Amino acid sequence: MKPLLKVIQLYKNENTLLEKAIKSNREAQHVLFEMHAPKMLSVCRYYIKDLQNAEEVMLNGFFKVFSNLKGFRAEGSFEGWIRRIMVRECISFLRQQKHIEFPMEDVDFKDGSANNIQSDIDVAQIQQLIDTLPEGYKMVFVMYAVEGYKHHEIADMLNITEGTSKSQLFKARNLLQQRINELNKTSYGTK
Amino acid sequence: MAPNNIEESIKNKLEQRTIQPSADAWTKLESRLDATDKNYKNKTFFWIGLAASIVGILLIASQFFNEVPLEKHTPVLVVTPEVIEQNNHTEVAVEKSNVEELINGQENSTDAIQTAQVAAKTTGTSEIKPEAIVALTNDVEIANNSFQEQEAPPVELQAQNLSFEEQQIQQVIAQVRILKDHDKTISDADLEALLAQAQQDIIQEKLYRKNTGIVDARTLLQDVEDDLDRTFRDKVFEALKANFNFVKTAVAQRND
Repeated sequence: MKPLLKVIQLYKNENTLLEKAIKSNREAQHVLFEMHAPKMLSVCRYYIKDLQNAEEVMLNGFFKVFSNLKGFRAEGSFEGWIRRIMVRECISFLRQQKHIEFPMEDVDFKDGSANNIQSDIDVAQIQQLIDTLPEGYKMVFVMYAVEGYKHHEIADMLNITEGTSKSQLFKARNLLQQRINELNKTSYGTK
Repeated sequence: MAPNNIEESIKNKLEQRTIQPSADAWTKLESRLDATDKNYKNKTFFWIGLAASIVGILLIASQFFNEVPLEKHTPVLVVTPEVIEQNNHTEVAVEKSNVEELINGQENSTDAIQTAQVAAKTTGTSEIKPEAIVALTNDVEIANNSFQEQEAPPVELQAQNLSFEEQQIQQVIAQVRILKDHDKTISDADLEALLAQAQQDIIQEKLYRKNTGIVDARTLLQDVEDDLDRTFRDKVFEALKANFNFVKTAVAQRND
């Protein structure tokens, strides 16, 4: 019962904060920022290697959030709404930086058979592995596997075909597995 | 299924992560939001100012156009004296209808008299020669008596059915007719005096009705207030004038 009451309390608080933030109440906006910024910066970091750039994109996203707060409909969660804005901002940033490449050739798949190995790699290593992926692989993989977008949604947002989205995901998975295996071999090797 | 296990693991670990923004992150965002709000307020003030200006222009224009109808009353008075040229019993009936038009066109007959006074002024010149004009008040009274003797029967018959205001108006018209007969000219000031006298008589009649011997308190108060206002206004103007001269003199002396 207590966790449920806490959730209800949080919901009421967030609603109150949203109402004030819509009226440009800076304190309310600051509280909302403090509540969601750490998570959103982590999301931006999925796509953008440099942390400073990731923070800049995160601030751009929050600026759009507070500027368009009236457009938020209470159909889904507020965090989900912010997150969608952040992902679009990240895609926009990467497009400005350079053209996002979607390589069609297989990239160095040496051993993709050890699929059952559950690695104990930590989040920092996971992020490092994702950073090494080609841009196209990374975008599709993160949007599909982590954000939960469907292939047709990914295709719309990245301006590619569904087929390209599916193939990029397949290739991303293979490459990641390969690199995880290499990591495991390295770690086992040192023991 | 394996890729899903790995992906599930990757997803869970990444989703648990949070990264604390830099210390000045909120400050940067706040300054951007403040700049946007300022721009929004400036734009809002601009549009409000524009709307207010348009409303002001429309009000001024409507005031300007509202002044036009006043001129429409001028022909009414000008037409009536022309009718006096005909020395006929039917004149009285025609004058009565004209008078009724005047009365009906106004809230009360005192306004009709005032309108006539304004109309006399706005006609500008004293080109009322074709219509009969009164020379002097004394002459008017004598002429009035003589006129009344001449036209007594029909006027008396009508007077019983006319109100006091209508009687006054008829009297004015009659005086004008006499002057026309005497072929004399009169200035606008004299005409105004004639009309003012008629107005005063009407007000006095309202105050104290000779028939019933009742004094109308409300009208009396109104009349006193008007006098007071006039007196007060004159006093204020005089005081301002005196003080202005005093200040002017003092400044001139100081500058010397």
